Amino acid sequence: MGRKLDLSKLTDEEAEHVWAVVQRDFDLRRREEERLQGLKGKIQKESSKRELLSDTAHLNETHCARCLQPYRLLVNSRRQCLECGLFVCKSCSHVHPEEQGWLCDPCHLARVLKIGSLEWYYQHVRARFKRFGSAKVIRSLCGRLQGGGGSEPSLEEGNGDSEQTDEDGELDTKAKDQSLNSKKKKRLLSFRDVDFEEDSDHSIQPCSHTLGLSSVPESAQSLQSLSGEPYSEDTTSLEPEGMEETGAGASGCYPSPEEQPYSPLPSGEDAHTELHSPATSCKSTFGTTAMPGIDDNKGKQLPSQYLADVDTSDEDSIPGPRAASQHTKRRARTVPETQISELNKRMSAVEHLLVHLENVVLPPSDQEPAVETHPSADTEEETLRRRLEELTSNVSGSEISSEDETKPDAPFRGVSPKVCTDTGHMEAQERSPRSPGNPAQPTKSTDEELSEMEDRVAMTASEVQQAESEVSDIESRIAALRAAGLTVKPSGKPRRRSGIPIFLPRITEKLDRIPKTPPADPENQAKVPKATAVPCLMRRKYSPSSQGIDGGSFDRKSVYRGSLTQRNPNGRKGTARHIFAKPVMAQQP
Amino acid sequence: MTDGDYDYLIKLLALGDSGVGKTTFLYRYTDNKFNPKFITTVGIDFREKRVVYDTQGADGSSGKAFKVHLQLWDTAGQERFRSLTTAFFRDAMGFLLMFDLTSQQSFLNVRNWMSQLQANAYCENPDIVLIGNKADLLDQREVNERQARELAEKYGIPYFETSAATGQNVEKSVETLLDLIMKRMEKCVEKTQVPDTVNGVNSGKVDGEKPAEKKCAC
Repeated sequence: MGRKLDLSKLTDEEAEHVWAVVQRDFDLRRREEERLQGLKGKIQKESSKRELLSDTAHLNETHCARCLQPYRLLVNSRRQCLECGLFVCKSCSHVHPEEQGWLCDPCHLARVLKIGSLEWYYQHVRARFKRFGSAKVIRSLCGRLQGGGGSEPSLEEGNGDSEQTDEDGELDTKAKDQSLNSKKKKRLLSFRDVDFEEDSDHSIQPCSHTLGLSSVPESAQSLQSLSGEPYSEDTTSLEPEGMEETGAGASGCYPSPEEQPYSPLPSGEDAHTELHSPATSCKSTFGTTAMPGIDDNKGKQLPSQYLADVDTSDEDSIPGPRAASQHTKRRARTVPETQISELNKRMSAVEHLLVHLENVVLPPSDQEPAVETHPSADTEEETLRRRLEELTSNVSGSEISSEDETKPDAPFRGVSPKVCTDTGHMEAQERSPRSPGNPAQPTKSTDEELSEMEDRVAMTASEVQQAESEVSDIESRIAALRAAGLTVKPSGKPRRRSGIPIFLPRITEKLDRIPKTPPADPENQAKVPKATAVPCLMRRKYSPSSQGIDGGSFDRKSVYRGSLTQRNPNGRKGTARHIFAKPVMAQQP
Repeated sequence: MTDGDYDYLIKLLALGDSGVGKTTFLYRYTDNKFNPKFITTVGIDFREKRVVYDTQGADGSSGKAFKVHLQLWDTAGQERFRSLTTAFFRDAMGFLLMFDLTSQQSFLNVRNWMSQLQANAYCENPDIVLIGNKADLLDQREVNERQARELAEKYGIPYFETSAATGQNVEKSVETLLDLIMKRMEKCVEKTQVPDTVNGVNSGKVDGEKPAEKKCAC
C-alpha cells in the first residue's frame, strides 16, 4: 500500500507515454474543478435572488419565484419545489429523480453540484490513500527523471519542469498550512502563559500577608486579632477597595488635580496599561512595609504609663482670634467631602504621625554619649539612668504603634513609597536645627536636660495614643464600607485605571507642606533655637483632630492639654499663650 | 467533447489480463470502431466519451436526463506494469473486470484481479461488472458460460458476454455499470441531504457545498 512505485522497469519511451497520459488527466481534473466552481456561483446568485422574494409570500402564490412570470393554467402551470417549498412555473422546474415531485432550477442545480462533487467518493479515497493515483505516479516519475541516466527529449524535460513546479507548489501549500497550525499552537501557549502569571501573582500575595502576620511578637496579640480581621477576606477583594479609597482621596483633597484621574479613561489601551503598572508598583512597595512593622512592636508596652501622666495635668485656656478663623476654613472643607475622602485624609495623617515617630526615636539615641561624658553626683546619675531606661522603652513603644498603623495601610500599597520619602525629608530637617544647638549643650544643667527628656517622652506617648485611636477609627470605617460592599465594589474598577495619577497629587501635597514651616517659625527661632521642631509637631497634630467630631478626637484634645501643661513651667508666657489658643478653638465645635 | 456542458464526470477503469481485449473494447465503445491488430498498452491510458444517462422513476416512467462525461481508464495487463496500474485503481469509481472467453487462464486470474481491486480501489466493495470478451470466437471458446455466471453470482456482480469485434453487449455492459454508480451517488446524496433539511434550506446548502468544494480541490 504505502510502498513506492517501481518504475525502473519502464523504458524512457514508456515513461514519456505515462507522463503524457497523466497530464491529460490533470487537465481533465482542472476543467472539472472550474465547472463546479461555475455551478457554485450560479447557485449563490439564485439563493440571493430568492432571499429577496422570501419576504413576499403572497407574490410567490401568483408569480414564479425564479422568473417572476405569472402562472398560466394550461401553458405554464404552478408547481411546488420539494426542497425549498416555493412555487415555480413549469419551465423553471425539473422532475425529482428519486421521488414523485418537482425541483425548481436552483434546487436542481444544488443537487447536481452535490452529486457531481463526488463527496462520497473522495471521502473514501482520502480515507484509504494519501493522494490520488495520478499524483502518486507523477511523484515516482519525477524521482525517476531526476535520478535517471538516460537523456530526455527537450519537450519532455520542459513538461517535467512545469509539472514538478506544480507539485512543489502543492508541497509549499501544505508546508504553509503546517506553519499556520504551529502559529495557532504558539498563540495558545502564550495565552496559557498569561494565565500562569496571574496564578503566580495570586499565590504570592497570601504568602506575604502570612509572613507579615507571623512576624508580630506575642506582646501585640490582642491588637493583632483586631487588625487581623481585615485580612480574613480574599486578597483580591481588598485591593479594589484600597485603590478606590486612595483614588477618592486624591480627587477630594485637591480640586485642581481632579481632571488628571479622568483624562486617561476615554482611551481603552491606556487604561489597560495602567491596570498593570499599579500592580507592579504594589509588588515593589510591599517589601518596604515590613520594616516599620517590626519597629512598631515595642511601643505598645508603654501607653498605660503615659496615660496616667497626661490625666494628672488638665487645664482650661482662652481662645484666640487666629485659631478661630483657621478652624472655620477647615469646617467648610470637611463638610462636602464623602466618608471615603475623610478616611483617606486620616490615612495621610497617620502616615505623617509615622514619620514623626520615626524622627522622635532618633534624637534620644544621639544624646546618650553626651550624658555619659558629663560629670555629676551619684543621685543625679541614678536619675539619669532611670530616664535613659524610660527613653529606651519609649523607643520600642513607638515602634509597636507604627506597626498597628502599617496593617491598615496594606490595602493602600501605593501610599508606601510616600512614607519613605517623607522620612528622608524629616531626617534632613531634624539634623539641620541640631548643628547650631550643639555648642549650647555644655552650658545647660542636668535638671534642664531631664526636663527636656521628660517633655519628649510625654510628646511621644501622646502621639502613640493618637495613632492607636486613628487605627481603631479607620478599622471601624473599613468594616462599615465592607458591610455596604455591594455599592462600593462596582465603582472600584474605574478607580483602578487612574492608579498612576494618584501619586502626582501626593507629591504636590509634600511640596505644599514643606515650605509652610519656615514662615510660621521666625518668631520662635528668635526666642528659643530648639523650639523650632516643637511648633511643627504641634501644628501637624492639630490637623487630624479637625477632621471629625468623634470620641477619639475628644481624647486627642485632652492629650493636647496635657502636653501643653507639661511645657508650661519651662516655656515663656508668650509661647504658652500661643500654644494654648489652638486646642481651645478645637473644643468649641 | 471538450466543453464543460455536462452534469457529472464519472471515471471508469478496465482491468484484466494482457490480451483479453481491454483496449479494443474501449475503442469500440468510444469510437464504435474495431482494430484487429494487437498493440500492447504502455502502462496506462484513458479515453473520454459524453453520454446521456436517463433516470428511471419508481414506476418505470422516464425521468430527468443527465449529461455524463465518462473518463475511461485503460490499463496494461502485463505484470511489469502492475505496480503502475494498481496506483490508478483509486482514481476510478467503477470497474470493468475483463477476461478472454478463449483463454481459461485469464478466467482463472479473475480472482486475483478481484483481490487486487479490493485492495487498491476507493473502497472494498466498488461497483464492478464482469465481462467475458471475444464472444464471437465460438470455435476457440474455452470458458463455459455457466462457470462464468457462477463466479459472477459469487461476487454479486453482473456478468456480460461481449464482443469488441461485433459490438455485442459493449454498450449494454457499460451502461449497466454506469447505472450502478449513479444509483450509488443518488443514495449517498439522499443520506447527506437529511441534516441539511433540518438545519435550513438555503443556509444548509451553502454550508454543505463549501466543504465539498474544498475536498474536491485535493
